Amino acid sequence: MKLVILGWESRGLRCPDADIDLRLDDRSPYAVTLLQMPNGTGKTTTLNLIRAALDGSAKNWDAKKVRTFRRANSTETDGSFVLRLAVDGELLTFTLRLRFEAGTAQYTTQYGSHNVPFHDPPNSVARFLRTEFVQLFIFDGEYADKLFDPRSAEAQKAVKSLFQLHLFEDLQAAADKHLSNVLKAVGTRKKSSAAVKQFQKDRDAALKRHGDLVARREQAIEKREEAGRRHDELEKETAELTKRTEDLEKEKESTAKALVTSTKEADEALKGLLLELRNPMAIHPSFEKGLRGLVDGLERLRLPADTASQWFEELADESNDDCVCGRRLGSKERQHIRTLKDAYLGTEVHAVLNTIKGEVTTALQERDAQAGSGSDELRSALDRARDTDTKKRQLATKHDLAIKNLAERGTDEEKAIYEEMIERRREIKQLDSAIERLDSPDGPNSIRAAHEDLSRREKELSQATQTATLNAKIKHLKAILNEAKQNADTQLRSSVKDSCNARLQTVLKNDPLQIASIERSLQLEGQEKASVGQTMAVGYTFLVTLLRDGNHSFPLVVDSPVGALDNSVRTEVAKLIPEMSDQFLAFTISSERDTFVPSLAHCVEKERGEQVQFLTLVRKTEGTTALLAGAKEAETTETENAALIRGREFFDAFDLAEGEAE
Amino acid sequence: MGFFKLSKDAKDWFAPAFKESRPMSTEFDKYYLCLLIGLKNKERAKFDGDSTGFIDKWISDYAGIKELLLGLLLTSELDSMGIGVDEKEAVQKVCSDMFTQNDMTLLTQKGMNVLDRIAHGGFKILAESFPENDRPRSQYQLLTHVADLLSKES
Repeated sequence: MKLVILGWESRGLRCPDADIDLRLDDRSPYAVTLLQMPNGTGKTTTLNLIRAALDGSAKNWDAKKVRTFRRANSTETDGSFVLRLAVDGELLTFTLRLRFEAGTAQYTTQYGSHNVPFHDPPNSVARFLRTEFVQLFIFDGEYADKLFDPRSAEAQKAVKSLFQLHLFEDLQAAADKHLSNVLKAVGTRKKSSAAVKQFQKDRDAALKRHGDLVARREQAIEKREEAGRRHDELEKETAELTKRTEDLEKEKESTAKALVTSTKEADEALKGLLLELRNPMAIHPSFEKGLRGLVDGLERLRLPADTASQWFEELADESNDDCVCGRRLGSKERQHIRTLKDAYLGTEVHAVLNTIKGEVTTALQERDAQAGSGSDELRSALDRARDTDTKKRQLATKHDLAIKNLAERGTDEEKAIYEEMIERRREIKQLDSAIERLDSPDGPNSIRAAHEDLSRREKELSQATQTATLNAKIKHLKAILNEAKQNADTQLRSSVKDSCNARLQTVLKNDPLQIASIERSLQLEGQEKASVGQTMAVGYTFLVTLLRDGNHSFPLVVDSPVGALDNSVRTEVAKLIPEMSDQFLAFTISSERDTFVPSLAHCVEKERGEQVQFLTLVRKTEGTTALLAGAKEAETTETENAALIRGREFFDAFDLAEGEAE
Repeated sequence: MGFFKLSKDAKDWFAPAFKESRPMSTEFDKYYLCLLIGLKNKERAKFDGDSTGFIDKWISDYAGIKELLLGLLLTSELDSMGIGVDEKEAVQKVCSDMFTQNDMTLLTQKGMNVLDRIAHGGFKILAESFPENDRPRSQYQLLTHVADLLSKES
């Protein structure tokens, strides 16, 4: 990845309004740009703005800090700093807008079609645009001092930053964050294995409880169904019994009724038979024949006679001497008459016989008037009596059977059924209650509550297990990362140290200095402190080593690159500079023009065939107005409050005492 | 006065059937049935045990047919004496011996005796027509049995 600064534009800020273009052509910058800015011109502000534009740190500035970038005595409500970059040849622009009234800083990032209102560098460069890395290539003298200060640990940070050792920590942090998120989601602290065991025990108990309740419910349902089925059967049986009873009652009633009717019929028939029996004429032909014969005989015999024997007796006893025939009744006649009486029935018999004869005759006449023979009637009556009696008996039997069936309907059976029904109903009620309790949303026997408890326990266990496992894994990962980081750190520092020392042998060949080790700070071999020149030389060497050791190319922006260095070192540093970076931008002051600039220009232009851009940026003041008069118009770009002069001539000729810029 | 008589045996024999009071309820009913059987079978029997007169007149149920029964008695007696109905004096004598209007039964003692013997003879036939020691338990059984006996061709 190659990052170059193409230029920047500053407006409304503490530094002069200027549009600095570092480009040699549309995409490539000058290998070296020396920007001469007198003290107070805003070098530090510009450097800070360049850093802020690169690393996005302005979003964390408070209002006070934002307002420090406001130009003194200015009424501007906001200022802007636009930094133009190229990342592997692609344009990248960061715009930092500072709103002084509101005290806010806002970024705009633009590359390709990407244009967003916040600091959003492309992925290819984002990881390098971190504060601790940016300060490696946006370098100031203070930073070199810090490389030797163990309190600031900049040496360590520089190695870390360039080789992204922070990634190990980032990974550790990410792992911790993940664990933290998990714990947060779980809402608990890390669990020990003992705690996990307890959770397991609790979960198992909850599982068993839930299982028991489910099984209990299944059993209860089964029993309930069985009890319900049996109850229905019993109800059916009861209904059948009831129906049977009703049927039997009906049967009993109907047979009773039929029996009554049949009994009446039988009684009538029997009465009828008796009536026929009480009719001698109808009983047997012999009776009728006998009686006919009797009547015929009596008729023939003229019995009874018209006269009874009493008449003769009375005639014989007649006091009158004259007979009824007119003849004289003497004793002889009277005796004869008395003998005749015996041929006649006595009155007492005569009347009876007469009645007998009369009644029999009448009966015979009635008989003759009837159709059919006597025995037919008797036979018919007998048959009818038999038939009705048979029917009556059958009905009686049926009725008895109905009564018997009704009686035998099984009061015991019915009682048993009712008792069982009551028992089943009680059982059903109990089971319904039990099922209701099991189905209730809560309560000691609630399956739902038990399930919720089980789910909770399983979750706790899972979380505890997960947490414990996760925790162990993260610990292990962190240990690995730690070791990897330490190994990498050690090896990298050693490598960098070696590379630095190799370069230092050239840079400080007249003032040999070796780095013993790179710890939190650079530890010099054989000495605790370094001189200012040594500090700068070692610092640059260190940076060169770091920046060159990676597979990336960064610009090097330095404020007063050789300010404190003596000339020999300046020369060496000037030689180093082309190696440090593909783009070197130095904010120089006039005192650095000696030795350093010529050496640098020589190295760049003559030995490397590249060009150096000389720029001078001054505020427009009374003091600088005269100076600006000497500048060629073609080389000068002016803004309201500043003038930028391009060219070595003016650069070399410019001389403004320090402290006279404002 | 003449009394219609039934033997004690007959009374006992009829007792089970006459626990029912319908359609027959009187001693005369028992007497009558026996009489019918006796008349039909031309059977007579002397009382060989206790007998008691139960009534001295024809009860209403039988008053309407008493003349027929007396006629049957006369024919039975004439037949038993071998007297033809054309033998006037014999018939008259039998009538004189049997009938009298001076008794509510219209029977002389001799006539009553004959009638009683015919009835008793009928009882014996009736009783013997049942298995030994058996007797009708109901009036239905009695009447239908009597009717059967009477219906048979002799």
